[in-house]
Amino acid sequence: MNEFNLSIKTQGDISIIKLTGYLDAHTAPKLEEAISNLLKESRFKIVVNFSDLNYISSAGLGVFMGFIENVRTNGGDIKFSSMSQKIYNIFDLIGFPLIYEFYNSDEEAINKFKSI
Amino acid sequence: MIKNLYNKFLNSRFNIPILLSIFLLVKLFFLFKADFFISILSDLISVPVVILVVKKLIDYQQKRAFTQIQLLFRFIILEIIFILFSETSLYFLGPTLKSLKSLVIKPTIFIGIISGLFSVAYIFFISIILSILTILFFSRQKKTIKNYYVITMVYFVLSSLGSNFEKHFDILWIKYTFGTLTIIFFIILTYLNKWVVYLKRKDKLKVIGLCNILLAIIIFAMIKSGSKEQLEELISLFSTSVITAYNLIFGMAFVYSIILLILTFFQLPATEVIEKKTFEIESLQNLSQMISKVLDIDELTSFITETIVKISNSNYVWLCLFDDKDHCTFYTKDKSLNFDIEKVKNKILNPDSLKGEINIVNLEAENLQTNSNSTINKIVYIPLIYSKELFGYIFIGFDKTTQLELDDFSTLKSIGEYSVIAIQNSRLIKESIEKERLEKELEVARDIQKKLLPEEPFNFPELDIAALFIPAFEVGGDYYDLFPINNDELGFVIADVSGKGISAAFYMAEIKGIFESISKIISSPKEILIQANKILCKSFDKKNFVSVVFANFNVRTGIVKIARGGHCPIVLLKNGLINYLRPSGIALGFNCNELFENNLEEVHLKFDRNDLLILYTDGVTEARNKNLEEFGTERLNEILIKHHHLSSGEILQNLIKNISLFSQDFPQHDDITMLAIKYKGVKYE
Repeated sequence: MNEFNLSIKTQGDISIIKLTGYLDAHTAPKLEEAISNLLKESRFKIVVNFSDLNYISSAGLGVFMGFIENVRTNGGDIKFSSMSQKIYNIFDLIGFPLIYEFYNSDEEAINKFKSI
Repeated sequence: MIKNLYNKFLNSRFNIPILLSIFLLVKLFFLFKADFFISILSDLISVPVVILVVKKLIDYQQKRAFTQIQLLFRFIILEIIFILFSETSLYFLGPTLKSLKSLVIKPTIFIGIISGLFSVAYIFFISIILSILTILFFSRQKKTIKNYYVITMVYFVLSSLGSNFEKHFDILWIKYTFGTLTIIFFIILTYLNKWVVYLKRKDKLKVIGLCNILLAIIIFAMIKSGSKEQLEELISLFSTSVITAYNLIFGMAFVYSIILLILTFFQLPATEVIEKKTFEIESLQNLSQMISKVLDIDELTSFITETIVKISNSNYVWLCLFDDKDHCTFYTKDKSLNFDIEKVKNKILNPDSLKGEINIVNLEAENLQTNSNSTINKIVYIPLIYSKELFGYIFIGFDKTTQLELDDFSTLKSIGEYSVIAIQNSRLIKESIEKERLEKELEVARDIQKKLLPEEPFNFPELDIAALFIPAFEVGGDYYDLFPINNDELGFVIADVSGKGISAAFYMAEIKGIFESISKIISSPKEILIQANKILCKSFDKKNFVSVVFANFNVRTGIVKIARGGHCPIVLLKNGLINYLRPSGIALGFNCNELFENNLEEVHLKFDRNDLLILYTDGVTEARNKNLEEFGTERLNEILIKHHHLSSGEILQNLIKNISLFSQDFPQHDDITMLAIKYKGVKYE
């Protein structure tokens, strides 16, 4: 029913995770595993693409919070891209825009990484 | 009456001595003028003596549970003792017996007593041998041989008694006809012997050895029969039947040992096969018992591999259970063995393996070297399949010298089938235990959540407060509470803890404690949230957070101070006009430095009579229907505007009715919580 999938593309030292479907308490561990695998390989520059994500629950949001500190102390970042208004509203309510960067497309996010 | 006496007699300890003394007294009394009827009558008395003694001996030996080999051994010892007894007594009685010829014509009391004692000794010997033979006949016997046994024994008695005809009338045929019949039926009985079949090879060899010894003794005794004649004459003076019976018993012993020897000898080659089959059947039985007993996968797999090691005679047995398509966990008895599944994988990927067919792979060039310096050059594999899904393999490695037969495969195949059932059973039970545990956990979580929420009614005359809480199956972490601060002020809070289940329930409990204590000291919602955030930052996991709205309602002034930490907007209804308030603020536990404080806003609202405040959690707007559409804020708006004039309780009732109409029977995935507070204005006393 609530299917969730993710795929990872790499572009130089930047990894782009594309999420599809429903990210809730049951599917969040999948994303958690994927990100922690990236960190194990010292890939700290991460862009998360939300264009095909239908739903995110608090557990899904929690995944990003769990990693951000570690990622940033290692000189990387988790940047969000291509979010629908509906999903953005959820992030916005909680207060994500104060801590995370949101971009309209992967390119923008990648460029931001490169510009540093 | 008679039956009672008979039973008493049977059970009496003295029945044998009594009968025996009667027998002896009758014999001695008529010793000198024994005619045919007297001797046959007195011999008849000895029949029950023998029967009783045999019965006693059988009972005794069965109680001691002798094995057949022990019995055979006793048989031999007995024969030796008896032959020794006969020889020595002949030696001592020699001189007396030499003059026997004359004594027979005119016997004395002394001779009579000696003759009687010998007869008793012979009767006991006959009884013991008969008891051993009887036990041997009936051991391991499935078919009923009782009829043959009884017929043999009847002929045995008739032949023995028949000797009286010889003595008195010179009629030989009665004794010999019945004697021959006894031996014929005895041969049949012996042929029906079953117990040898069940013996192990080692024990069969023992039986052959014992039979040889027995035969040697019997033949020795027969050769010596010259000197025996004198003894026979002595005893026949007393009772000819005893002598005939004794000879018959010797004949029987002879026949028994010869036939047993031949039977055992011919069964020897088949023993290994029988032993192997018996072992296989036992192993399968053990395995099927394990199915219900052992649930631990490690224990189960080690039992399976051990069973296969024993049955296949190969030390190289691996059990592989797939973790996913390409990897499997190996279970093996010898952990030092390294098994590279990749090496054989390509070869086992054939259509048969999906049918669950056992198969064999020849490794040819890429032989597996084992640490005991032997080389595995072929591997038998058994696919483990459950409901059309291949979940593992059993591999058995063999070296070059091993030849595999078709029936080896069939046993291994059944082991494979039992293993499938056992492994799946253990998995299913583990799953159901896990499921039960989760359900219990959720039950606990729901219980905690329910206990944390305040109980209605809320007694504030100036406010019309209603709360609605519909928990999801998996506790969603919603929480609301009311804290009367003083006569004028009421604090209330709505919160949503991230995550689900028991962890959410515990965080909820923590939050309740924090708010309850802080709200007593601090009245500003903003300050309360700042303090709460500081405390939560210490205890929360990085990925946990709480969205919250905290409000302080002064019922006297109608001033409501509100702070929002990452929660859904606050809904305000004034004169039927709806307004969504989103004072800035991020969720608690989300940021632990000034960012939280700097971004937290506290708004002050002035409530007039009938103004309505609605607080909700995202379970309301994110309630879904079967098309996965969300309830959303627009539907919420519509309903609130339509019903704003009703009481708080009625408004919430209408809302929940609409939400359930919307989602129909589509399962609720998150808690639904709403709080409605209508200001009634100050009551003037």
